[in-house]
Amino acid sequence: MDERTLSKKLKFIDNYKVATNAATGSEVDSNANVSSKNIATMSAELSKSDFIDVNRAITKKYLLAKYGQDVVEQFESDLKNHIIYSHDESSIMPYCVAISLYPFLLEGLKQLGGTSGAPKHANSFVGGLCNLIFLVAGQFAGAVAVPEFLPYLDHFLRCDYGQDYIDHLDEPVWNIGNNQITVRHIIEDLFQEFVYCINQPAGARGYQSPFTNIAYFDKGYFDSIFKDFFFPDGDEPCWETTKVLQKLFMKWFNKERTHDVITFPVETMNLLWDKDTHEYVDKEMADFTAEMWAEGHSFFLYNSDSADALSSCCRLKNAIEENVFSYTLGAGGIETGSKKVITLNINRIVQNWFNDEVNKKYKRNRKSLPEYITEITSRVHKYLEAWNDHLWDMFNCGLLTVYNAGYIDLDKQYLTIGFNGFIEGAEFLRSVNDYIPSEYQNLEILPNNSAYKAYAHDILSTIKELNLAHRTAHLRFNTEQVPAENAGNKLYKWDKRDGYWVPANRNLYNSYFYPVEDPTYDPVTKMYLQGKDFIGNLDGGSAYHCNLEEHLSKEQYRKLMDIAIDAGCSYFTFNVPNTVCNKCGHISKHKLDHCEKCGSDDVDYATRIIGYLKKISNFSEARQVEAAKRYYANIEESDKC
Amino acid sequence: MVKLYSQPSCGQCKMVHMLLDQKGIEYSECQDVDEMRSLGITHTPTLEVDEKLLVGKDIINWIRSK
Repeated sequence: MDERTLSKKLKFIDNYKVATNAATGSEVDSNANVSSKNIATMSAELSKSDFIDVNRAITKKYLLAKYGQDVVEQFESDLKNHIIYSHDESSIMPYCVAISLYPFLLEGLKQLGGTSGAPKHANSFVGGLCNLIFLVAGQFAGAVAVPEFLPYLDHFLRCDYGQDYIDHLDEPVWNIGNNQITVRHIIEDLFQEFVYCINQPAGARGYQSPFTNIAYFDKGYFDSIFKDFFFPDGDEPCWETTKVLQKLFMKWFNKERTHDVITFPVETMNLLWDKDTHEYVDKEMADFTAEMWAEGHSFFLYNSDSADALSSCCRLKNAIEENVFSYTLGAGGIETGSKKVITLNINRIVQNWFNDEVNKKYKRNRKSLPEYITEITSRVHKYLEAWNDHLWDMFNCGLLTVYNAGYIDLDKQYLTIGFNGFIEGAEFLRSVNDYIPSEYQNLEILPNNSAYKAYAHDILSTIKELNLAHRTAHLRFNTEQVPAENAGNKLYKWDKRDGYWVPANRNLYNSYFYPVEDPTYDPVTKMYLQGKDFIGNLDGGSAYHCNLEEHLSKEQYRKLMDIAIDAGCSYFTFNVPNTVCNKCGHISKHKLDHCEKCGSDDVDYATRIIGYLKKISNFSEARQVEAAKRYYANIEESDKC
Repeated sequence: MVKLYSQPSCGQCKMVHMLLDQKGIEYSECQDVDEMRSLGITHTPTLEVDEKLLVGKDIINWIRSK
């Protein structure tokens, strides 16, 4: 290492020592999923810049082999000019995954280097699963989803306590002294073991807990995913008992979150609706979903009219089928995920298009916005393909043991094109209204604005069509409105530094189709902006975070769920900041200026930074500024719906 | 005549393999999606036994009966 690099690293250590928290101390990849700042988190940060160099060298090596030096240089140029943002470059691993748990049932952890054999009981299942999550997370840069957690746990509970265990929850299983241990106690102990274990910082991940996602299913999705499924002992999944277990977990988890800010698992409820009646098919689970929100629980809802929208491990696929739901921060189906995410900086791209194509007085053969996007997307497909080649080489050498063991298949995961700076690009076009093509003139960020719809279609549908056109047996692309915890801030700063227009009322780029800080947008309008007219152009995930000042009633939440069907808003959650007392530790599900238990005004707030729940004091400084600007709608306003 | 229709990363398919091998049952295997679709197969594993297609628990029951 040369003197200059060493000096830079020593300076980083000095800066890290005085940083307000771990996320702020990070120069490369600030992440609020690190609660404690210590020597382990600092050490993990220290080598990240080296890994970025290695990561880029790997991509360039495979690009050179397949496409030649020109494409390598274009890749370097796109990165240098911040046309693209390559996520988690400080890792050379695949990005995120929703695994099948079946290999774990067959062979335990041995294929991943662990020592445990196949689980035989609920206890060994949960204990082994926690270890499995840490092992899998050690081979991925991002999230690990285990959508089968509860259906599988139900199987082991039926093995241990009888097929009808849910009918005997409060009957004693054994006595310890004067204490009677019931099935409910045992189940809640298993929940506790799972949740507190996965929230432990992981040494191998720079003290980040494994980003863990789980799923809940209604009857429609349960039947779709577990059709013809059987466990190794021949037992079949049981909807009636799994339904009760899902409810028990949600109730328990919601209550547990009044004791501690528990970040993981991030939960997704999956509900199917009827395309003719536009009603949720499983009304009981739909009502329960609204009930849990009304009780203050925080989780995502995925809804769709297609039973095949969630991937299953065993349903047959072909090369031209529609993409299944896959979101880098959520869980739906099994055996899906992203191998790599490269995000397009839409604000800069739109301004470059305007400056290079629209605003050049004597230019011939001007490119339309879709043509301009096509050129860039085609390049990014090559960059992603290079990474895919790298992963296949790793797989063929036996280094991707999660894949080798059959938890996931490289062909089932996506190569993801993210996008960020989307509304900022639209806001820029509005500022040059008189000089742009007529289809984008008079653009307003509103659900029924034809210019905004045309803008969304011309960018996103273009990418979607190219994703399909470039699809092969080994290449499957999708597009995601990425949460951009870091990228949103970095791209904003770089664009501002380089003289591009950026909004003055924001310190980072938005991750939605609406301005998150603007109080004139009510929750329903935002739901339509995050609905089918806009996300219909996507073949990957996006999330609507409905920020509310206070909780709604069950009926109000249920009404919003119905509106979501009408709007075509397929993935959303409600965020009401929780108040965390720094003095007595009490957590309220409401946003208060003092602790409701001890009266102290020394309070912090917990909310979702992007997709996961954290105390705001754990956010990076840039994200804390953004959090302070978020607009939380009040109940009266929500009553409009 | 036994034929197993499977997919590369299907855990249940792997288990059916193991059970067939344990019982010493001879079988052929097909991973051709087009062929499976032409037979109306939508999920794996599917086991063809004497021109009858078995799915789910029926596969386990048949192997255990051998």
